[in-house]
Order: sequence, then structure tokens, then C-alpha cells
Amino acid sequence: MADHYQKTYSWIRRHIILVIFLVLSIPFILVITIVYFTGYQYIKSSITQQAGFKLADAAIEVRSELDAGITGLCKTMSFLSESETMSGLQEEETLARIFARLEKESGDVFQDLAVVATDGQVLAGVFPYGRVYVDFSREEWFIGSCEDRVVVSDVHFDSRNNPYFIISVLHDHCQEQAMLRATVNGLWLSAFVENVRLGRTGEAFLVNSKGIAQTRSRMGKDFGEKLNMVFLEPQPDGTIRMAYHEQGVEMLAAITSLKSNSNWFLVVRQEKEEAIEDILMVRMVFIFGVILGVIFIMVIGYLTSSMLMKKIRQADEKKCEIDEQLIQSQKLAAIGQLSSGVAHEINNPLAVIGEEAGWLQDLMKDADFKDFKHAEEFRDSLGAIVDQVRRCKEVTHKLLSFARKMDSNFSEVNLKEVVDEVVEMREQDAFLDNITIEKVYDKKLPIIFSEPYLLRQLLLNLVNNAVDAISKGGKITIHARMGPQEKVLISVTDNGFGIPRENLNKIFDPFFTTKPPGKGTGLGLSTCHGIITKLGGEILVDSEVNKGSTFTVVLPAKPNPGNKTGEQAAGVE
Amino acid sequence: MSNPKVLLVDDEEALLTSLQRRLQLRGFNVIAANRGESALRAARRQDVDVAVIDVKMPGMSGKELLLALKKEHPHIQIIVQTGHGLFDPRDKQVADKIFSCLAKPCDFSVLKQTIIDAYNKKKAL
Repeated sequence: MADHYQKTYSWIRRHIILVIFLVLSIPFILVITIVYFTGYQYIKSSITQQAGFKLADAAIEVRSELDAGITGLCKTMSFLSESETMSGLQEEETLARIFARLEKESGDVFQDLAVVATDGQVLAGVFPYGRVYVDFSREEWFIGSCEDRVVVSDVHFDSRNNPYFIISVLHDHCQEQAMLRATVNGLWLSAFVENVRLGRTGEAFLVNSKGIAQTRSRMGKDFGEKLNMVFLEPQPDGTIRMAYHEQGVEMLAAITSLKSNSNWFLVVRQEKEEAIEDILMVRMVFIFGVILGVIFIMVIGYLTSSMLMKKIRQADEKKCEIDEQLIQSQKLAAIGQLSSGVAHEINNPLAVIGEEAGWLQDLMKDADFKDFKHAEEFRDSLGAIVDQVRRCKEVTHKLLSFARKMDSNFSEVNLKEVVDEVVEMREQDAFLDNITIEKVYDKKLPIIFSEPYLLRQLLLNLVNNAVDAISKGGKITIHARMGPQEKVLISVTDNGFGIPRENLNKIFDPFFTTKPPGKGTGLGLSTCHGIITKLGGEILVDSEVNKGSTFTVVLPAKPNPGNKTGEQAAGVE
Repeated sequence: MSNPKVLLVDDEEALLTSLQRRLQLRGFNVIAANRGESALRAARRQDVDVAVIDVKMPGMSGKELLLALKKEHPHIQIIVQTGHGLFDPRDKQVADKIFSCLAKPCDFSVLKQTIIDAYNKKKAL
């Protein structure tokens, strides 16, 4: 019905959707931003912290292993050196025995063993690999050994490029000082850290205070490699947690110094991305939330706009309907005015024609006309004129009553009587067409205050239509009853051919008829409409093609306000 | 039965004459008037039993005429002929003063019968 608004509808729809999207999106973006910069970043930093703790824990564990290993070696050497006299140590045999015991106790860790005098001269030594040292006085470990009892040196390389470090133990028996010096295989040291596994990118290695790698690492560090590391203040547990970039990759590291060699630092590190991969879960939830939000906004936008459009469409359809009704009633009013004007103008000439013809008829009865040879034709002709005048008169009367200009006289009406009268008028014709008319009355029908003549005409028109709708053989039911809200309902139901949908809104138009020319004036239902409006009621139509129609007249049941004997029980048939 | 004296008032001369002729043919004593004023004068001259009055007339209207007639001759019976809604027979002023109200144009036989009824009513008074 409101299809011509389609363009407007799409325009409105687009705008509604746009506005809803904007209105919903702005707070949504705000919330997302706030969540990202507070919640998400907080979670990220706490996960980073957790990862740092994990690395630190690993570092402490590896450190204690390393410390235990190195300290074990130192203790063994101390014990052996303490258990021998100075002179004993200087004997090659004793030294060889000690070396054998060392090798036995700690495996293939010690590579050689020497006794060094306080001036750096080698007093005795076991050198299975054939190294000969002459003077250690300039070496770092030696300088340290003069100050501390036990010294662990940095990692160095021998002539065959094998890594090693030195443990030296001060031996002072009876004022005689010398150092027991052992070379330890660097690979042994490296083995502690090389096998540390932390995810895919995690590794551990030792580095000295100058940033020189002291071990190899899982990820490819090698002995003696110079690393670019910055050391920070240690945490309370002795570790340093830090994040730094190496070759463009962000690393997370925990660094701790060894207790057995404060010059060595154990580095346990991992690529930050892997260390904090738990954040991926959070990020996914976050992204999922965002997507869900966007979908939600779209669905809400769509649904809301659909709903609004539906409402608008309904309102428009209703408006169209009301407009149509308005046009219909205006049309009826205009036609009514016109036709009543025409009827008025025709009434008087019609009356004159009728009376003149009647006068001629009167004259024809006179004896003078007995011999008039055309007397019979004259009579027929005059009769025809009178008949046609009567027919015209019917039309003008109907027109006038349709235009509500007929004079009327409201009085108390017994519905049953009116219906009976009307049915009586048509019963004979109906019977000939094999149509039965059934009357159904409610037990308590009030005496209503209405216009008996108009009411009779109204019902007669409806019954006539019902009879015409049934060609041969059928049933008409007239049912008079009390309706809700002080209304009286009189319905005339037939089982005739019904009214097609497209005609339903035209049936009350004056001169609309489906009867053959000359059979119907097209004024019956429009007159009914005029009458019912005048009587202050309404008329309802319910029709189905080939099933029949029901016309229901709704009349106010309230009795004459000036009459006390309003309601009486109507007779029951 | 004596002949009822009928006063016909209508501004349509043609209708007036044909009705007069037809009624006279049937033994009514008919006085025709095409104006309210002349009808009133005629009623003063003769004793009228029944007046058939058209509502819409130039000069004195049907309603004015019937009120005047009824005032001067309380027993006169009034039949109103109307073709439009200007006249309301339920009007309190006239409701008890008119014998009948007929739609125009009305069947001659109906008019005749109504006049006879009105005359009988007058006689019964």
C-alpha cells in the first residue's frame, strides 16, 4: 500500500543504521581504548613480570648447580692440598697420585695439576697434555691467588684452542706457602648451562664481568665471545631481571652472579615474545571481544532499524487506510450533495408529469372516450408513464434518503416487529426462488429508540441484496441480538456468491452495482450507509466469494432518554 | 359523507392544477393557492377541512402558513408535503399540529387516502 515510499524508506533506513552505528561505536571505541591501555597493558606487564620470575627461578636453580659443582672441585683440591705436606706436594709421585685421585673423583674434569711457588715458579706438576708452564706470576689467577685462598679464573684457551679455567688453592703449611693449581675443562662448565631448556628460545650461559662468554649456549654462544651486555643492580634474591634488544629481538633475561666466582654471571634468557606467550590468550580474548562487539553493534543496528522501519511502514499503511476512508466519506458526501440537489430539482416536474398522466387516466374513464378508437393504446401508454414516474420517484427518494435529507421520525422501535415486517414483505418472492429466511432473536431484545421507516428500509435493502445474491435455492439468516457495550446487532447472512475483495470498498458507493442494467440502481447499500449514519450506528461487511456475505448492522441500544419505559422484554418466536 | 373541503397550497402551478382537477373529479371540494398569503385569505373566506401544504414556497413558508392556519382555525387538519430536509416534523412547534407528513412527489392514491383520513379525524373532533 505504501510502496511509493520505498525510496524514502531506504533513505531513512540508511540514516538510522548510520546513527545507531555512530551512537554505539563511539562508546564502544572508548571502552576498547580504555580496556587496552589499562587492563591489557596491566596484564601484559604482570605476565612479563611472571616470565621474569620464571627466568630468575631457573637462573637460581642453575646457579646453585654450578656453585655446587665448582665448590665441589675447590673443596676436593683444598682437601688434597691440606692433607699433604709442602715437600710431599713437590714430589712428582705424590702429585701424580693426587691427580689420579682427582680424576677418579670428578671424572675427566681436571686436565693438569701443578704446585706453584709464591713467586709464580712451577715447583712440580702433572701435565698429561704436555703443557709446560714456567712462570705464572703475571697471570690473573695468580695475582688473585696471592690474596684469596681459593681462586677460580676466567675461561682461557690452550694451544689447541680448548677452553679451560683454573682453580688454585693456597697451601700454607708451617709458613711455607705454595699454590695447588689445577686446570679444569671448560666443556665441563659449559655442560651445566648448555642443557638448560626453556621453551623454544630460552637459553642459559655464563659471562664474566667484562662481557666475555665463559660457556657455550644452546642458541649458539661460544667460549670467549664478546657479548654486549649491561648489568644492572641485582634484585633482593641476587638476580637482575632485565629486558633488552639483541639483533632487533626483544629479550627477557635474568642475570645472577655465581657465589663460587663473583666474576661470573649466569644469564638465563628467552625471547620476550615466547616468554610472555600467555599474553596471546589474553590478546585473543581481547580481539574476540572486539569482534563480538562489532557484530553486536551491527546486529543491534540492523534489528533496531528493521523494527523502526516496520513501525514506520505500519504507521504509513494506517495513514493510507485512514486517507482512503476519508476520501471515501468525502466522496460519499459530495455525491450525496449533488444527487440530492438533482433529486430535488427533478421531484417537482416528476410530480407534475405523474399528476398530469393521472388526470388523463381519470379523463379516459369518462364515457365520452368509449368510442375513441385508440383508447386502449392511450390507457396503456398512460399506465406506462405513471409506472416510469413511480420508478423515477423511487430513485429520487433513495437519493434523498442516502443524502440524509429525508424527513424522519424517531420513536420506540420493536426490532422483532420490524424484522418480521421486512421478512413478510420478501418471504413470498424468496419462497418462489426456493430461498428460506430464518429469523433468530435473542431472548432479551430491548425496545430501541430509532426511526422505524428508515430501519425498515435499511433491513429491506439488505434482505433484497441477500435474495439477489442467492440465485436459486439458499438460506438467509437474520439474527438480532444484544452486542457488547449497549449495542444491538442485526446481521443478515446469506450463502450466495459473495463479494470479491476488490469490490468490498466500493459497495457503499452510490450507483455501484454488479446487477445487470435496469435491475439495480446501485443505491441500495449507499442508502443503507446513509441511513445507518443517521441512526447513529455502523454497518459491517464480512464476505467470502462463493461462500456468502454477512452484513451486520450495529445500532445503539440506549432507549429514548425522555422515556422511562425503555427496556422491555421482546417477544420470543 | 359530505365533501371534504381541501386547501391545496403549492408554488408549482402545474402540479396545483392537475391535483385540483383530479381531486375535484373524485368529489373533493378543492381550493388551490400558490402562495401562503392567498391560502390564508382563502381559509378565512371558507371553512377548510384539510390543508395540503408544500413546505418550500416563496414568501410565506409552509411552516409559517401551518402555524397561522392552525392558530386561526384550530380544527383544520394539516398535511405537509415535503421534498427536502428543511422541514422537521418532530419540531416541537409543529409536531402536534400536523396530521401527516408526506414525501414529495407522493402517490395520488396515498394523498387521497391521507386526506380522507384527515377529514375523518376532523369530523370526529
